[in-house]
Amino acid sequence: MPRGAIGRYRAHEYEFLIAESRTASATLLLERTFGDLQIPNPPWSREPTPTYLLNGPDEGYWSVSVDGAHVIRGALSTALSGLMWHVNQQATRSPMLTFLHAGAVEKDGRVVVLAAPMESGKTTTTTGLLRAGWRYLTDEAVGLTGADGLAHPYPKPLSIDPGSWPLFPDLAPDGLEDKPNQWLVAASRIRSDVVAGPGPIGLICLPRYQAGITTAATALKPAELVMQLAHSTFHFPDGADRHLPRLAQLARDVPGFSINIGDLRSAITVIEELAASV
Amino acid sequence: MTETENQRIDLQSVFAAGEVLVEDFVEDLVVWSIRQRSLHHLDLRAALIFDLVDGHRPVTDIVSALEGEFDIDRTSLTSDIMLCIEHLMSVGVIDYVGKIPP
Repeated sequence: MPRGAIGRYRAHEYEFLIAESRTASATLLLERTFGDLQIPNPPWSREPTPTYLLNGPDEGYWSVSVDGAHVIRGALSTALSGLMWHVNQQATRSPMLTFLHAGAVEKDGRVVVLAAPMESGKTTTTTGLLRAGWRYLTDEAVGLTGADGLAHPYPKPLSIDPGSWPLFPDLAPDGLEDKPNQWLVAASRIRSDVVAGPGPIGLICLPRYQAGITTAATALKPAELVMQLAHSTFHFPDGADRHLPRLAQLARDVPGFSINIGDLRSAITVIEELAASV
Repeated sequence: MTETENQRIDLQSVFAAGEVLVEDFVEDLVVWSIRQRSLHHLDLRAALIFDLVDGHRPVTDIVSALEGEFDIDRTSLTSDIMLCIEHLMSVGVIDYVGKIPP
């Protein structure tokens, strides 16, 4: 590893290094935040690996660059969010996989996928399910392969928005000198064995949070499910010839439900009942 | 399609499947229009029309083939089919081929 590197990480097929800042507290924060993505260093040198450098503080600001190219500058929490955003972009570019914009959890060898756009309650529901004993694949991008039909994990730190902070007060990050716009929380803070490996999908849920409504699930026809999943697929138009058959097969094999979520507790109950029934 | 006098859709017009990828779910279809890079869900009626659009059969034959499939009179059925065909053509799922000779 290059001098100053904290560790090697993998986000789906995208491997990268994160390199040292100047302060021990920031290093510790990086290790805590991204630890679930860390992989061992190979004993020999391989192809050049993209390296993210967190630099600062410089008059209170931190900056992130990747191989010298500027990514973001701001408060420490902003810099970490920017690093995460950049990694997310790279992680969903592999031509080998179909990436659903979705959370995913696993229990008893079966994966539940929560596919939805931003602000739909994916991360909140995912976090709630982890609390209920499920294991973690991702809160952002599920990788699908055509051949084995497995969901592949991307155990990035949970991105918890302010609206959900009161639900998980014990997950508040420490070590930040600023007030973040979003919490980045390693899922292993919930349980040390929380990260799951690849697994077959047993249920697909399309959550939509709306305060005050009654939580209820509606079964989707396979064609309706494909339409929804396509909208949640990264770069679908650029690889429709690969993505569409995979999504269609998934929709034929796995039941899908639209779930209107009024509150987290009832959402967990509904999803666990659906998972038990399929 | 730029609508010209010859291309105006009528009962003698003939259509063919466009440049598409199709996933069949028995009662309905999901179709990707390669040219327009757009995805479409065809319900049962639209899927039946799409299946009958073969590059040879005029609209009037499609109406005849579907008469009796739905509880609707022929005039209304013809109108529905024409609307559906116009829509499928506008999104690149089917293409206009020509007209059968009068």
